[in-house]
Amino acid sequence: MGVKTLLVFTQKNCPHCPAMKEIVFEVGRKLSIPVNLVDISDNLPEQLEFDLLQNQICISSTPSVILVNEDDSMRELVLGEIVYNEELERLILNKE
Amino acid sequence: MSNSSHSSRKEEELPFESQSNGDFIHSLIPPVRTSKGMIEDFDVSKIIQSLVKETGIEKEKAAQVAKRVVQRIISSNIQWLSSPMIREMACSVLAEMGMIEERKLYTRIGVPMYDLNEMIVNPLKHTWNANLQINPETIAKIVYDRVMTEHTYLTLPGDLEVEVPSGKTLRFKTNLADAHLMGDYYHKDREYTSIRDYCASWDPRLFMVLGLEPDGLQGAHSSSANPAKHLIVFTNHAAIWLASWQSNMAGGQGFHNWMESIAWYLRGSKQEELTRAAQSLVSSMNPTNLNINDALYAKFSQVPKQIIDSIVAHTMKSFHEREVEQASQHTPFIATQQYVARGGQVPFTSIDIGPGIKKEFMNEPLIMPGGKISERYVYGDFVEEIKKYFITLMKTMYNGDRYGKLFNYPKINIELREEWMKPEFEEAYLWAAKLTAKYGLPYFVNYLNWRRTIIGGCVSCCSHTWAADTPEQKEEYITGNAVYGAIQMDTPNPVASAARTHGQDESKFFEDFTQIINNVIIPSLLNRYKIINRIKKLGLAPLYNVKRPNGRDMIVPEERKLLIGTIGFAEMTEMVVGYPLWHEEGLKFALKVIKHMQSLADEWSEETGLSIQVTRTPAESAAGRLAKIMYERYPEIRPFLRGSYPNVYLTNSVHQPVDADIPLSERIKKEAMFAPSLGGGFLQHIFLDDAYPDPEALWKFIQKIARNTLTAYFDFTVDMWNCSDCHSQGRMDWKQNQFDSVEELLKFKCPKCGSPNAEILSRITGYLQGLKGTWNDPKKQEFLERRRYNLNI
Repeated sequence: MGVKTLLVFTQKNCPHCPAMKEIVFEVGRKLSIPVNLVDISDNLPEQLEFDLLQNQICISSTPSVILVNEDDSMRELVLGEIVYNEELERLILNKE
Repeated sequence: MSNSSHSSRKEEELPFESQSNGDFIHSLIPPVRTSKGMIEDFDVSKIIQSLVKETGIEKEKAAQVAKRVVQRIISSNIQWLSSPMIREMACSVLAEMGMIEERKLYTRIGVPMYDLNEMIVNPLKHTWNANLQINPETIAKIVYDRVMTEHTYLTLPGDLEVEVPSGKTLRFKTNLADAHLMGDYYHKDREYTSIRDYCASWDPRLFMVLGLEPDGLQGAHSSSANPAKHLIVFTNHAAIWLASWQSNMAGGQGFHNWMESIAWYLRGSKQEELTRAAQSLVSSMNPTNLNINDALYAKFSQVPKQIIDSIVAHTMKSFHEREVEQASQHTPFIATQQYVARGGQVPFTSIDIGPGIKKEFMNEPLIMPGGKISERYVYGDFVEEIKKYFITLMKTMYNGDRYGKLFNYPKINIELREEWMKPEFEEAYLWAAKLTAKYGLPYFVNYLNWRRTIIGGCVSCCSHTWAADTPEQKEEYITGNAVYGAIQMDTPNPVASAARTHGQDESKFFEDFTQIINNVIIPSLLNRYKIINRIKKLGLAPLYNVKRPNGRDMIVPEERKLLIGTIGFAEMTEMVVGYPLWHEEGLKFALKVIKHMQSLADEWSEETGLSIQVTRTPAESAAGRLAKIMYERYPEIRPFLRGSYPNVYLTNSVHQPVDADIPLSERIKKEAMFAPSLGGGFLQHIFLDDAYPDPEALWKFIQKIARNTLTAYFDFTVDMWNCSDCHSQGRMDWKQNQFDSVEELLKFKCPKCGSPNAEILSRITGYLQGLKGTWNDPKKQEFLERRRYNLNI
């Protein structure tokens, strides 16, 4: 199944968020996957919040990266930590 | 009536305060049986004085009341008089004169004679507390509960002023008693409102360091024990600790960091310790051991010393392993055999355990009895010993008691943590799965999903989950000083709001529900905060003021949680949006409500400086009580209630209805969507049918739930039966047993010997308890309607 987008969840005063954002943009460019930023300091859009929960995802800390498939199903890639390009790529491609 | 000019004139003519008229009064009024157990001459001044003292009214007003009372006594020609009778008359006069608040203060609280006689011969008919058993102490508790509950209704404030840690003084004008009586909210543990804190989770290292003084008065009443040096003494101290705290609190008592605390006592299994101990034994200067020394070397003079050491070490290891086994067996027995707390109940206990040492502790030096820090060991040195202990405990629970009956206490909270998801812990977790497959006993506390970043996590009571949020709390958690818990849980009834706004715009529902939270729940919680502060200040619960090893009081009201409970979301959703809770529209609405509750809790936390959280309500009593009130109060919403009258009930918390015809995976996931918003905790149930799941497959399934859903805390319920006549037990066979009504459930007979003394054991809310003897009827109805799942594994 194709990947529709990568969602990067950040918040103000999050020390690792700027670096993680850069990494996701780089990997996104490499794999031709669009990247969207979501600042959780603001209220999340109701539908996005519901979709996350329905996909059994809770953004309990930042930075977090969620992959959205073409059928709108979601997969948690990173939760509250920083991972580097190679690791993120491996996670996106779901390689062991 | 008494307000007529005729009676007023007559009252004025009566000679009340003149001593010289005493004989005249005594000739008209019989002597009084007083509350102090005496028979005394009637003395009107006592009525006046007590009215002034107890209600604060002016003496003149009190005299008017007393005059009317005397008038009644004389005019009715009463020949037998007691002080309760006089008080009843005075209360009646106060009410007639419009002094309702004064009447509340002056009334005598008690139990009608008929009810009391019934309570003595049939106590369990008079309680909805499923944890009570029959014994004389239980009768005392039921009478006490009745009296103190009435006291709570009369003393819950209308006007509340409370100083909060944020420095503000908050004022509320409310009517908490009526709000509870009308079913707008459920005020939990009303019998303990004025006198006890709610629930707690303790670190066993508190008594391991401090020793044990259960009176909280430095052993003035109890004996004072040194810190335990042996495992069996540790487990005894643990049981006594929880029991003594249970006598000071209304809700569950548990331990976190059990495994880390017990580690030091398992050192006897370590080879190096065994060798050292063996060497020490045979070379000791103790004359008794010198005999061993002499005997061993004399008898085996040709055998090298090292081999003798090794044989002695091996023998000691066997002794130690036997000690560990005995301590493991001791734990559930002592938890289920002490009928000592809260009116002859066993304490409501739990322990949080895992098959290893938590990652935060691995490199921390071990704390020894008395508080000395080990120079030899860190906690991480005990992973193997802990694993063996875990398995031994699981085996003990698996074997059950003498007759093979399950142990329902302590509640075993099994933690699922990433550091233990390794092949070397597989055997231990498989034993947990075996225990689950057999009895459905353990609860699983999930730290594998979004909760994996939690530090200091623990659980208590039937629902609540805690965590160390600040660096100071994390420090306390590691050093054995952490005390978690809540002062109170109060549950707003969303079904009442839905009923009042039925057919109107959704915003009206939110307006009404917000009113309940802001004007009832918050003042009710803050009132309890104020009471606990008062209890501490007056020293009414000495244990609260005992110092932890770090010098802080055991109970610090400012750091304890205030919980907003949840109930009836399934019914609320159907009423407001017209969809069931498992439908997307229903789910969206219910999530919106929970988020709204969470944001109100956050706002009030900010305002007060206290920690206010949203949680699951256990609701073994609330579910039936609130539904019954709703049934009577709002006839138009009856079709939305579960069960059938008189056994109507609300669905627990944000759970899907027990009879919802949805696949298990959908049930788990849809309920789990609420877990992140329920910061105070949320326990999910999986009701199993009579098939016996394969433990290996069950363990895989447990991991799947933990990793792939948002669940925080879950359990599997297996319905069991046991017979107190032939001592057989087994799983309920749902093909053989069909019950169409609550009454039929009561007729259940032992499948082996046919005795009517067979009991069905199941999970009423969080805990397991006998159904026929102790569950209330609405909960029995819910039991009948539960959809049970075959895991097909």
